Amino acid sequence: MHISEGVLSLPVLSGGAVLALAGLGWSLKKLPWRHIMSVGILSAAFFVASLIHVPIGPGSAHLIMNGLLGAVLGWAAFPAITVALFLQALLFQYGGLTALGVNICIMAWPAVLCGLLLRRFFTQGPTPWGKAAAFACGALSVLLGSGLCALALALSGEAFLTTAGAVALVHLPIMVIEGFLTMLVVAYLQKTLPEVLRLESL
Amino acid sequence: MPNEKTSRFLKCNTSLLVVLACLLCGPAPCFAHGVFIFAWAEGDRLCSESYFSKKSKVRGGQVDVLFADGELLASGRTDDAGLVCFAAPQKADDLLFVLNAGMGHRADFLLPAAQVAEALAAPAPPASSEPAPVPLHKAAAGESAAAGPSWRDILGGLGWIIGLAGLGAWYSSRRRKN
Repeated sequence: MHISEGVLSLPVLSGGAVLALAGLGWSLKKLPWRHIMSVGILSAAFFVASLIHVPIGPGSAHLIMNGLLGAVLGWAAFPAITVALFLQALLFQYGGLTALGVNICIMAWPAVLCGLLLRRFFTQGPTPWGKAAAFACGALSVLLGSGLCALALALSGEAFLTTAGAVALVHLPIMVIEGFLTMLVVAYLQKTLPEVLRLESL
Repeated sequence: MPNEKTSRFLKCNTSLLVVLACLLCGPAPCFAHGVFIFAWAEGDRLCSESYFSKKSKVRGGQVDVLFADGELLASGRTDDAGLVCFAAPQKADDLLFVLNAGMGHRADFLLPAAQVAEALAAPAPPASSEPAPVPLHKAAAGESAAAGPSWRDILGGLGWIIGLAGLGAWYSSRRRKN
């Protein structure tokens, strides 16, 4: 899902950078500074998750974990994902530095949106709806990310539907895995430390 | 109770650390998802290999060969082993191999004019289908890129993140004190 250097057109790159900066600015305002270590640890989890390659399906895909960050951190997922993506681009050559803004938008915006929409279902305690919402948060963040990735490519000349289908197909196993992973982590946190799921309101 | 708060806070971060540790212990974290292309002169041809990682080659990716001025020399698609070869051009010039592996994966490799000249000077190989030995410099460059991120990169990145979070914690504690 990391778009490389030299693929996207200039307007798409600048648009992505502006949207990423806007999200980053707003999220830094809302950052729960007292819980910055939790944000850091989840950022580290996002950073290493992409190294875990899932050899299922037709393509080369890896874990993303943006849904988990959105579920636990809400808005604070934005800076966590930004820092991790910057370091991935710098150290692993995943995606390019010029495409960083677009890559941030592809992974962070779906995480934040899904987190904000679905967190209310699992912050109140363990319920079947909460489990379903946690699963949806993990899976939908990847699906939305695939859609945004295809949109960025389409705006730079590739056919949208074909690309969107291909990206979504490659990430289908990832969606299922991340859905379950998010559900498990959220269920564990609900039992042991429910306040972690309410970082923003603390 | 500040003490209870602190211990809950520590517990919360310990739980998150457990998630991180599980990820680090997951399937060997050495699969790269960067995409790479490497090109070399082989006999009178110019060949390229495209791969995501050592084990995962780019299949059916488009490779364009461009002259330094941007003029297209040739295009081709990689086979199952990530390979595609082209006939050497008439003149020795720097050649840019551009790989488009789809879904936003792009990489390029500049083959210097000296190596293109090597291919131009080489006689056509005999008709046998014996695969040519992989040049040493090709093997070396391919190995290092295909091995993916090293532990040094991974730990370095984690160090940066923890350092930044530490800075944030320091900032937050100063803000609270003021």
